[in-house]
Amino acid sequence: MPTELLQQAAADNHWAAIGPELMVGCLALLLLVLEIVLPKARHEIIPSVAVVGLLGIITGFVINYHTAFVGQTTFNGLLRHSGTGQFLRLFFLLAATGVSVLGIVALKRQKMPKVEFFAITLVVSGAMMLLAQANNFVMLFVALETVTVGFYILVSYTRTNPLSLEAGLKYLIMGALSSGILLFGIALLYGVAGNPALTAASADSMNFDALRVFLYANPDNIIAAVGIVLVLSGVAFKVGAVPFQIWIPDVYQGAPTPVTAFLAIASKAAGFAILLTLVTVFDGYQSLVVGVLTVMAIATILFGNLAALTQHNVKRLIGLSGVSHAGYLLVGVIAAIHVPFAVGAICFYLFAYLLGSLAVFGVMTHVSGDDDADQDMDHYADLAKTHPFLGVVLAVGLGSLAGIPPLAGFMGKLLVFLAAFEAGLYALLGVAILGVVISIYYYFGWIKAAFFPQWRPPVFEGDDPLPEPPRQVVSTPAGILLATAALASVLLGFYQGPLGAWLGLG
Amino acid sequence: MNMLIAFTVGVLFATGVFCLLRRCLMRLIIGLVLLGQAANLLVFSAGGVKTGVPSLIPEGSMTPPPGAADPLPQALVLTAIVIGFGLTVFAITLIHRARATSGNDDVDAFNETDRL
Amino acid sequence: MTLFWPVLLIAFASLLAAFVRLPGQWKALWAVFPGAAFAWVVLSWPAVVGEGELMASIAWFEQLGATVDLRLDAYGGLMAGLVTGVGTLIIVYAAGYMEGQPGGSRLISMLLIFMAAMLGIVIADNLVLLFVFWELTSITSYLLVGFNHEKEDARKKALQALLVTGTGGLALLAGMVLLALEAGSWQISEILQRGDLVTASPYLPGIIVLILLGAFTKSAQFPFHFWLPNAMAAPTPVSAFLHSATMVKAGVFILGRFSPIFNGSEWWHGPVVVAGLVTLLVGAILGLFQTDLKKILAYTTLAVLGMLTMLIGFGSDLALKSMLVFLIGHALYKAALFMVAGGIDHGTGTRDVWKLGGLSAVMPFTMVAGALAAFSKAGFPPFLGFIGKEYVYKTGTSLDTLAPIFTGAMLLGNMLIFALALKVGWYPFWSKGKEAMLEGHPHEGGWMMWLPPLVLAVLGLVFGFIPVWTGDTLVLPALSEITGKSMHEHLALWHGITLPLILSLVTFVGGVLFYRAREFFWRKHDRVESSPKVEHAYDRLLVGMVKFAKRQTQAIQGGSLSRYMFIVVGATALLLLWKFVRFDGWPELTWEGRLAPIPVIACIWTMVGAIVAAVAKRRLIALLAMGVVGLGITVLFVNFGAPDLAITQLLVDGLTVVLLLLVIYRLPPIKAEANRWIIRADAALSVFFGMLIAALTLSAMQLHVVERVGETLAQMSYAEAYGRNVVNVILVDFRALDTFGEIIVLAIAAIGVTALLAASKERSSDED
Repeated sequence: MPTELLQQAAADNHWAAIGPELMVGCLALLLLVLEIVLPKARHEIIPSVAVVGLLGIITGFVINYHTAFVGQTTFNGLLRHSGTGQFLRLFFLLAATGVSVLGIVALKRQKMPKVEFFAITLVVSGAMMLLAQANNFVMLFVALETVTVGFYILVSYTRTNPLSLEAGLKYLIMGALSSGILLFGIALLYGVAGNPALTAASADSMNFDALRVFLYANPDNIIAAVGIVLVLSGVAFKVGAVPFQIWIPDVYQGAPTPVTAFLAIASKAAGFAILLTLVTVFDGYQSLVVGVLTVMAIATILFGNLAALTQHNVKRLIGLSGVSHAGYLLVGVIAAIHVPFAVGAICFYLFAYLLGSLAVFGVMTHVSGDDDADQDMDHYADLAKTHPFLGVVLAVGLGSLAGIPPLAGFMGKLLVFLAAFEAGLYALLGVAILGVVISIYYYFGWIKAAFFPQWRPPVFEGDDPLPEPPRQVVSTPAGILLATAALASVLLGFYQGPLGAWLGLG
Repeated sequence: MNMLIAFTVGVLFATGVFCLLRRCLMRLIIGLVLLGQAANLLVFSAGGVKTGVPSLIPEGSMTPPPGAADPLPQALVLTAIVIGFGLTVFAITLIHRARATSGNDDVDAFNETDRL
Repeated sequence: MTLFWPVLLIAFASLLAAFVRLPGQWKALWAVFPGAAFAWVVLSWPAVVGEGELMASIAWFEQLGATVDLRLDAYGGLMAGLVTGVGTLIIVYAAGYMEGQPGGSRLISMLLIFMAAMLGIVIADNLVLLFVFWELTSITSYLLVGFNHEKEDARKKALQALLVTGTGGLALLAGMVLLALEAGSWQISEILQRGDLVTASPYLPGIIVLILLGAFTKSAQFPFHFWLPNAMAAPTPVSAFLHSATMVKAGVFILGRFSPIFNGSEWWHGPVVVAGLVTLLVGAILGLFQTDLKKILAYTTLAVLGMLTMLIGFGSDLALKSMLVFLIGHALYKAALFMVAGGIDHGTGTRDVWKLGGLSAVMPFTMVAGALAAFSKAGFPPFLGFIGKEYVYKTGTSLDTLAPIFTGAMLLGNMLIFALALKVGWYPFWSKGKEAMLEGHPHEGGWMMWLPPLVLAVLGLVFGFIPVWTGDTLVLPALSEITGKSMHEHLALWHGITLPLILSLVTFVGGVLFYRAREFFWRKHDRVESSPKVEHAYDRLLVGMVKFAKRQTQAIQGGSLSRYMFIVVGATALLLLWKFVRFDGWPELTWEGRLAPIPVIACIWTMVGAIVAAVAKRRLIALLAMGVVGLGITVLFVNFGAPDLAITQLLVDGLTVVLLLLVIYRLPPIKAEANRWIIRADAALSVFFGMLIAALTLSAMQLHVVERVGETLAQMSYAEAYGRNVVNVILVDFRALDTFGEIIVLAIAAIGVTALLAASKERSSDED
């Protein structure tokens, strides 16, 4: 029996290379098993298992950060392990941890099955980690579908709430359409790049490396161009770039707050991970890619900021402001084509965004009643007085998102803008700065609501006093998460340390 | 033949999109299914179709017979069909829930988002 | 490294003050911290003057060229002295002002953090760092102006100030980034030495305009002046500190800082002089009509800021010298006057000039402080204000071009400032006929409220008495710093009978006349306030933006799923169309290949099924038509050599139809859509989209792919994986990871389905 052949075929499947993802998957399984094994009264501990397990995986990952696989491709070219990929894996692990902690807080109030939430969150983040390293369209598609289907379920998680169902329905329909568009684009690229009549056609045209070579050799192919446009549109849906942002406010509002956080932080980052990979693959069609992304970036920044200006529901506000962040990041992506350090800048931006968002969403989970979708700005009245801790965390988080110096968000923006400047994208920079100006208005409107004393009509005897805005007591794990996010947002503005070095910024 | 297949894909896309633009919940599902089938057919035929022999390796041979169909798109389509099925089933249950909650069959009954 | 201590010390004090609640008057103890910082500035002064500068630096963020560089030179040191010195007195004053009111500690804490930021601006030696401090002052001032205001209007004004200065700040940042890239350094002291590189740059106009935008918004220069009077909603200690001595001077400060580089550029002098001139006149004239003490002060501040800006714009050594003298004088008397106004407000409960009068008997100390400050401001000899005014006239009369016009403007401005000074520092105490006022039992505040303004006012007198010392120790070192050459000409009180002196006399006469005509202007207050102003344009811009934002959001983000889908599909279709048009890639319409009967029938069958499924009025028929489509595709799969696909497709199709039947069975017939036009538009878009896709598919299919990866994998299939069904082998062997993913997707979907079903079960059991 020719065992050598078998061994050879299996040799490229370096399962160790996706160890963290496998462990995340196993953790998810463990949770499901625990749910069956443990008596119902002890189910309380399952979420904690998820968080502790994630922390363990993160620790292991950080220790093995410079793994031997960096710079290699594995699984017959399905995956490519890069420094950026490593950072993003860590990013998704951290996001999952944060979201799980928020989940513990939020689900406690709803009479919701608890275990699936954490299991699906884990699986989705594992898929995102793979996504960040995908080097092949098949891998990309499957991982993306895993993420998307996971989100379909998470978004409609509060099953008895019509708003959550509405959000799930909208996300499902539009997500399916975008997946269709993406798949269509992939098919076109696959078809054209495998055509032996064309130069540099490849036998394995789903592979990014082969595709890149092909696109270089055939710079004027209509099918390839359309394929690229369709793939970019599909990805634009994930990052929420105009005009594919349309699902964002409704879905963000209806989804349970931790899920909204997950969407805002991780789903967007996953989209940008793909985009960063794809712009290098589509390098042969630079002018096309730059054209499409530039128009999108301008529209996204302006629309996101203007639309956020009008919102009273903070979940919609943060969703639409997230759209504008996607716009700034798109500027970074365009810059990354010419300026290498822009990739690091984007990563830093994402990280600052992660911290700021976790802080803000953390506060939002505590300032919401049973109806999670009803998060009005008015609920924040006098927050700083009644809950100084939440107030300060909120201010730091929003300040960082708004890009107030010297918080981490400011550094992120500055880095991205600097990269854009070096790439000569002056018009985009002008739009971006205009966007930042508009954003000051609504971010500070929110801070204002929380910090400035609010006028209240006097209560006369016999009248019912106005209902107190809903506020929850901060539990220890949530407190640690919030404090960490806020402190790190402050610290990273001053000192980037190893993070800056990893990203090639230091 | 190509043109006919292409036309079929076009019609499937058109009807699928039309269904997705309706307000009726069930039509949405039909739209999803049609769109999925259109995409599968497209991937399947993107490299050109020919009336072919399945990609099965006959007994005693090491390779499939010459002129056999391209197996890779088939593999992708198989994946897509299965994923699509999962999606459809989930969509059906979701819509079932939605209908049970709202009591009717209209998407716009689900529009309680902020009206400014 | 000692340079870091003052900033850190004050920041630390701020933190401490936020948590440690000192009772009542003891809050004045917080002044110890800025006091220590002030002492440090004073003690380092000889070293600064002697060595030219003190520097300190630690690493921060190298990619941005940001190191924490601090540098204390004579120019920055002068400002640092003002910030900490006035700041110390302000803290004492604030403790007195807030006594018995809630929020005193919070106010002091915020004042301290503002002070730290302000100190940072004047000693920062790195552009990024400067910007950081710059924005910090904007934000803290936002919090301070909006402090304790329950009125929505006041908060709007605070936001207005933030938006204006914040926008300017971003322009400043852009300008500074350009500046740094052109000069090749982020360090201010280095940039100042490389002025040639900057002036030779093609971006010079851009750099100047952007930096000016930043400075003008911060220092409330026309047309951004409107936020300053509006910011008077702030508590008085805040106005006294931010709006007289410190924050509004930050813009003037950086204009002076960068003037060595830009002096000589045509882009510099014109805009700066014009903005200054207009601000001077607008501020002084509008100030005449004000009836609120603080508003009067705000407008004179505008006028003085305009004067300072104009002087910097002239750019001569003499002009810069006048600017410095004027700046010191103004900081002393304006802060004092604000505190006096606050004292009056505190003692009487009003700041309305119509009501105030005759307070000299009950508020003697405040009266003295007010009078001294007002005299300095009005420019009586021997106050520092007089010297400043003399130098201003000297500058004006010695100008090469348009001297009469500028001197005339200065004369008018000074007359009005004179009149306004008396209105605040003299009128409330000495005007007659306001006996009713005294019935409310106005009273002097504690020592903490009158001592600080008195100290400042007396300093204005003392400095004026010893002009040589003031000039040699304070003005000349700073002047040498911003002119770049060593200056030695002494400051003097008496220059002989010269044109400037005559102009000063004219100023007194004119000023007194304007003062006597005060009521004439006050009566027109309401009419002036309601006349069109720049602010209205700003408001309209803001309102317009919000309105536009609302419209666009409503139009695009209205919540209807159908509408959303329409937008997304439409956008994609347009994108596709654009590509087609640009590349001219329409496929050839040729019938290729043989038309076999089976696939032709299957295709037609599929198309008919799809159309029926889309338009059928009855649910069951639509559903069955959908099943028919699946069958057609199955046939196509079989025909083109994909039996595995066919089997799977058949299975999935059947299951879907059955499931749907189970779920939907009970529903009523489909309602007709409300609007025929919507249906038509949808149909048009769908057909258009379908045609584009068909064209694309055709193009893709015309590529004639013969051999591809499938072949290689097929070769390896049996040899390596022992599988005869190549598709299966690919799935389970070569692409195991994908298949793994696929299974996971299914598993997740299954979890979702069970969860949803469980929910409905819970619900129905609830209902039972």
